[in-house]
Amino acid sequence: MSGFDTAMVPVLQAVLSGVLVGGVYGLLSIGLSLAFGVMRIVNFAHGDLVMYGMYVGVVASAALGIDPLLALPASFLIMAVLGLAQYQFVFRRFVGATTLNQLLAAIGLGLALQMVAQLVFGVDARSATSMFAGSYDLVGPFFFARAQIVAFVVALIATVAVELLLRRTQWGKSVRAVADNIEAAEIVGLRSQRINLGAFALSCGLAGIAGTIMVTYYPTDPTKGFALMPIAIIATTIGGLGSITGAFLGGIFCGVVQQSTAMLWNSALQDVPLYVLLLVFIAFRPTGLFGGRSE
Amino acid sequence: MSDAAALEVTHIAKRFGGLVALRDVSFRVAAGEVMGLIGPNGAGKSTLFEIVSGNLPPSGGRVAFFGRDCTADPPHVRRRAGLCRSFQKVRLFETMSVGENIAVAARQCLPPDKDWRAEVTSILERMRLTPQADRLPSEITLADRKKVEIGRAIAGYCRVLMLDESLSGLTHDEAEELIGEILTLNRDTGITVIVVEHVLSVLAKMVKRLVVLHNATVIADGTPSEIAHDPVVIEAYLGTKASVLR
Amino acid sequence: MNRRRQSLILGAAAIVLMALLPVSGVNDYIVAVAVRMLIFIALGQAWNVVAGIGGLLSLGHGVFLGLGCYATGILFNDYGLPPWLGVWVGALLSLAIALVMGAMTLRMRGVFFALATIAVSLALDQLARHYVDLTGGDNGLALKFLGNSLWFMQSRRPMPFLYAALVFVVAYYWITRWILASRFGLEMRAVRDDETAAAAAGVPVFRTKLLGLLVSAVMTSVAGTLYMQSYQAIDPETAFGLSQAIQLQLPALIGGLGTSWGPIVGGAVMILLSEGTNLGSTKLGIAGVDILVYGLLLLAVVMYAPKGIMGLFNTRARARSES
Repeated sequence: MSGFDTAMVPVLQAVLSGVLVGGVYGLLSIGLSLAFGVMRIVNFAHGDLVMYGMYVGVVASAALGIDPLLALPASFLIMAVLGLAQYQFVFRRFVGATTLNQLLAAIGLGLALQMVAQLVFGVDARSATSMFAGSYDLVGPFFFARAQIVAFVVALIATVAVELLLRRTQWGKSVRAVADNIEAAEIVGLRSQRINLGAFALSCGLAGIAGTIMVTYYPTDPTKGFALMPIAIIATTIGGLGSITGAFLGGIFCGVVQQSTAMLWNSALQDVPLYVLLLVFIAFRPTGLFGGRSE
Repeated sequence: MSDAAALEVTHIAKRFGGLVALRDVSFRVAAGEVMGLIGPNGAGKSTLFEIVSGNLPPSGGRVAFFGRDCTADPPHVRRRAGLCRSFQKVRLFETMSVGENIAVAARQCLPPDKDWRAEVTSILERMRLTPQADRLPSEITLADRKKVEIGRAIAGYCRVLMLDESLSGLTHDEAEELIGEILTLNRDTGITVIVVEHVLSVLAKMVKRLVVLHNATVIADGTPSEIAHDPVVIEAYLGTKASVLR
Repeated sequence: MNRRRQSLILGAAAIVLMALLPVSGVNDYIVAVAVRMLIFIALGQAWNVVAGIGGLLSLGHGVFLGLGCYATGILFNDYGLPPWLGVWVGALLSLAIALVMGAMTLRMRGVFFALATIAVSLALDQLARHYVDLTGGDNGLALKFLGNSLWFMQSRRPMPFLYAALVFVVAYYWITRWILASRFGLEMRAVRDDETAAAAAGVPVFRTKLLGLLVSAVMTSVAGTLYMQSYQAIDPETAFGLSQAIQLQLPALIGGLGTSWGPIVGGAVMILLSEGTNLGSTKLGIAGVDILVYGLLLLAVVMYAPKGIMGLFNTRARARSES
């Protein structure tokens, strides 16, 4: 490797791994950001739907012998339907403002979902094997897990698709109108409850995709939902609450910070800098790196 | 000194991104005056109101309160100095009784040697709310809610009272009554009153002076009859002419 | 007032009943449950100050509980410092963390504060797991037991902690009453209801929120010392974990947010439910059912009884009737 400082290899490796891991963190976060942006709902149970998405992959691979990647559409649909139920029974009444009760309701819901998963699947960690499991690519001095590359590509496609959906379709325009001003949207004839319902289902469906793609390289257990939530929250805040592309980039940012900390300093403390960063962002740049809703 | 204006707004400007909400707005309000600030929707009245009460920082210019520059003071500091306000959409403390709503301000703004309980009692009497003192805001009429808000605004210490469309949503009789109470307050205590409305008709009999805001700036400043015949104002209100003049 | 006299009589009766428990011949298990109940009531009373009266969404109050526990434990085990002194170190640490956290987040909307409290508890969790020499890591920290001693606040049997916890609950009850009746309490309630209107009434919003957080943090941390002495051990999950955070919130939520009796009634209900389900689930052989119960309880309370049990008694549950 002429002209290449070998001391830089671990740094670049950390950054590249961080980008790959972070893409999936971004996928975890875009659904969360969507629910907040449209309805002001911080859905702490989002992580638990990701966890269920992971189990969809496990069931597909272990019980049905299907590659988890082929189960992605099913996972999206199942979680979207679960999302519809959640919205109708719980979140419907909390739309429009992030209140203590809304946060607590989401946490309560998350705990219940976690418990159900524990009763159904047991407490042991489970994993799923996709066709890419265990294969690695070497590019120069860098190595990549192929499952992570595939996951990154899926995350990227999902993010672009959601952005296009929101910006280019009639439905997306009505979602944004409801998000901007629910009263005005209703005056011009939009049915805000129905639109919110759709947006919430989409948000949950994205959680399903994120889980199923993640389980191809990361084992799951019933507590994974709560374990994944903090990073999704941080990515969403850093990206600007309510912004889709922001959440995706925020996820990549978190991935890079986390992997750099883990590889270059101390893997046991890999998340601590992220928590500190969250505080710093809240204090000095609450709109996030990429500008979200600040009001 | 005493010849300083109660409120003086000088060269106030406000931009939101590319949108100019206010440009070069200046006027003075003398102590003890009852002044009206009018303008069509979107003229910048609310923005100006929020800048004067301290909830929005101006992009340029200054606000002086009895000769003292208060442009950088946060809202609660202005309130304690006697610059008081109501809200366009009534904002009361919904879990607290009418009496407690007024007590919040009385306990903040009354000089420490005075008894806040006596102040609450006297405000309740002045606003004719004594029977409602223990009610929750959700249990009283809109007119009474507006009176609670004004009571809370003047409790403790008040030198300038700014009312943001306080008359809207009231019946004719209710509005008349509230106007009467505001004028009595001005006469009894010398409190300066600034009334913001988007139509002139309600203000004509209440104020001796009007400032007209249009397209982010002051277009006229004079007595109600001068304003009503000012060609610039008529031009600005074109299409809503009737609502200005009647 | 009649109502006031009623609650005083009720309170006095409860205190006497609790105080007589050890001499009534019941076994130590019952006394230990009573201690647990009183400690969680005290912790609930502390959370109630910031969240109930002040309306601040603290989801990570385990931070202050943990700091209280770890500070007293580490100072005692490593330096022989009695908890009578350790408690103040814990309180100072909590004060410092609350100050930094509050100063950084309380100018923003409430949701940011809520997210920040979670971040701080997770950060402390990871740090406590990593610095094994100081904290005992994942396994936690066990107090060295030196025998029954008032100076070291140690006792093999739970009886002394019953009286200590009773003192805490009564003291915290009076603090809550005092806050509700004071100008500070009025300010906090005004800020909780409407920040903009509070500022327009002359209330220094940011300072009020920060002060509420500091008071609550210190109350939690001091009660944390009692927690440590009574349980004689702490670990990262117990201090900073999610289910602990929820146990700190449930008493006030079940009983009635922002009321002086809420955390007391709610804490009693929570512990009885939790002990009941633990007994039941041990018999059935399923673990972790109390988590499910907490989750459902949380959901039920916020959706169907946001004013808690006190709100059911008094549909117009407002602090005025108590002040």
